[in-house]
Amino acid sequence: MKWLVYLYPKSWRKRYGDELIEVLRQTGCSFRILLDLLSGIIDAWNIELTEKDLYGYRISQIVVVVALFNALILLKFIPLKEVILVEQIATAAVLIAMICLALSIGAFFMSLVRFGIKDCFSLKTKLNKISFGLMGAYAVFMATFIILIN
Amino acid sequence: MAKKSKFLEPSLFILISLAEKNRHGYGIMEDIEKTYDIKLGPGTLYGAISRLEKAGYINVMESQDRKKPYNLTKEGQLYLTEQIRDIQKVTSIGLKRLGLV
Repeated sequence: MKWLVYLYPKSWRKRYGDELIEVLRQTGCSFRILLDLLSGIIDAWNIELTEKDLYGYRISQIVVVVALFNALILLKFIPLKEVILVEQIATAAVLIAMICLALSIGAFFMSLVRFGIKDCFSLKTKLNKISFGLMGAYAVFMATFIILIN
Repeated sequence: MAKKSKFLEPSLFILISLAEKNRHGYGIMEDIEKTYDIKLGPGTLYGAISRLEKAGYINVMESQDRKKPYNLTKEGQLYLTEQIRDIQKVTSIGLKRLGLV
């Protein structure tokens, strides 16, 4: 169950990770402990995202702005509803593209929080690779959508 | 003052445990289980410990060991006293209204 400790935010893990592993070694593992750890992980991330600042802005606020931006993009397509209904493939493509974009931004921010500014712009980490891959998928699906509606 | 949340109750147990003597994480868990018959999970325990440390109510003591003992700070002592007095006030009113005292 030690691997669960790696799901905690990096700063939290640095401070309490060893102690938590030591306690887990003594308590052993059970379903109750697993649930307790998952709840602790969610709580630690909640604190991390609420308290951590990025250029003076709270990360939680940035995530909300990104989500609103995505919602605005989706709303922009409402007038094209009839066309999109006819072109169902185009609808699916644009939705997948938006989901890819949101996930890509989410993975990028997670990478930023976990590995810091220096490493988050490289392709060294798994999260960055996932983010890059999702961005590529976004570009492909967006291109498909544009081609279809034209 | 620490935020009121689901971690408030474990926080109180932790502070009471540390009021007796300095203990490390597992020691706190054992003490709480022995005293109140409550099994605190490691996730909840360290969630509460991180909040208490951030609030300045407990301090980690230097140790080469992986098990790091914690101690109660002066602020922690004051906070705990205040909390226990509040609880005492509520229980005494409750007991009085129930006609038990």
